[in-house]
Amino acid sequence: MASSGIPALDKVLAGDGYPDRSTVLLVGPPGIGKEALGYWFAQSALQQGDFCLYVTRLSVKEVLQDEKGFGVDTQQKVPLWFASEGGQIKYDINDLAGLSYNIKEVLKQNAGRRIRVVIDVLSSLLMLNPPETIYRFLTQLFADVKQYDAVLLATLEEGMHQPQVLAAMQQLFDGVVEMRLYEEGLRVLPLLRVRKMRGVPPKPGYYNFSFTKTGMEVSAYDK
Amino acid sequence: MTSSSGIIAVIAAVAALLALSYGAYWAFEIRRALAIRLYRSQALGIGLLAVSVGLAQLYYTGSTFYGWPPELSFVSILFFALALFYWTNTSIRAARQSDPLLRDMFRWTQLRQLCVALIITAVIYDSANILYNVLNGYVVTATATGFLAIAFEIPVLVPVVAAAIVLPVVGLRSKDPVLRKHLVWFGLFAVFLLAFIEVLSSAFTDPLQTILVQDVGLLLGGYCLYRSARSLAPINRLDPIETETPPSADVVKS
Repeated sequence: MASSGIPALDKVLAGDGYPDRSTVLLVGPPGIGKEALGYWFAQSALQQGDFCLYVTRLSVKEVLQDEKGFGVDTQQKVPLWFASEGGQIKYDINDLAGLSYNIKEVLKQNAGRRIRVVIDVLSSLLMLNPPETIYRFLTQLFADVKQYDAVLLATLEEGMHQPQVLAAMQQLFDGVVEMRLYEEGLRVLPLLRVRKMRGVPPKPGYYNFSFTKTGMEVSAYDK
Repeated sequence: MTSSSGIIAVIAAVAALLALSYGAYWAFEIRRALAIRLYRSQALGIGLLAVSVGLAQLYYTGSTFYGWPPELSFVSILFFALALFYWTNTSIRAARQSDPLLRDMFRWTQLRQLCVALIITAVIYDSANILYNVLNGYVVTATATGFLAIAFEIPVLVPVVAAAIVLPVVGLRSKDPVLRKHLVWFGLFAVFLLAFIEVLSSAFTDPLQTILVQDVGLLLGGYCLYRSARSLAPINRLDPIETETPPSADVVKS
């Protein structure tokens, strides 16, 4: 199991975090804090001495600033940045083949280690490419992830893509965690639910979550 | 001016303020639920904007019927202008975040510095001018001329022009349906505001009629602003089947 970096979330997921050799999708609207789960996942991996690849469409500076807001610090133990600016590998959103090749090469070079991959480029890729192209890209990526015993966490923006695209994406991944806003009377609640997780019996129900300076609080939603 | 006209006008203005505040309430609720500062700021901006429009109208009504000091109308209009600029700025930055190529439209990161400098300079100048007039017992009129008129307009003109020019382009170029919907509803709000406050109300000479027409525009615009606020982020409905099955997780703090 790969810890999410948040003990409360680990309990909700499968007891100890994300399953080994799995691909997990985080779905939610912009601003709800999906990226924070990626930051804690990366931080947790680095603290355990695992190798971490972080693929982002932003510059490293922007991600580090954002991380600070959530009390995460990956400046001591650094992931391998695959970023538009400031990373060890330059990320070009228009070069899908290059992205696929580079990720595979990095995974190959670190074969034998525990590998964690965080990707926040999926929505951008879906906006610039036909969905079928992205499905093929993901199928290849997932095969590599499984071959090299990695765990992959990807974020996807809710509301930016057609429902059928979103459904197909959820189908492709081993696990899907939704972080969404829900209306309850005159209140808007941020709730989390685990749509599916490979190897884990379905766990129905919603969970309240909130971010604190040191992490995230998760509790069962009680209507 | 009869007192009953004043009461009717104030009631209508309060109704408009309440309608706008309902939109603001949803914006603040969404802000509370979000975690990222930029999107929280955008929600705060639209909420403040809604409240500022309502307050400006209420103050205008009060100064028309009850002679509230005109110096303070500058404050109420300034509040609106600053809220508009704040929301415009955050919306453009949110649009950049949703752009796959992260384009800085209109070089906004640099342009906004110029806008901020202009607004701050004009606000300081205007405030000093009003203070000078008040301390010396001069009457501050709403019909300033020449340089003073331009200086008075700048804090309002800059946000309005920036919003009117930049946001439609941002909305058209954005591939984010959520942001587009938010901007479309805001655009409708602006249309109602312009149509009723600037165009239709000027056809009436009676102050009560003028203000009532404006308030009708604000009520209609208030609905659009409410829809705009609700479009800040997709809001889902709870699945009743899943809410009936209580999960067994304990409350854990990490």
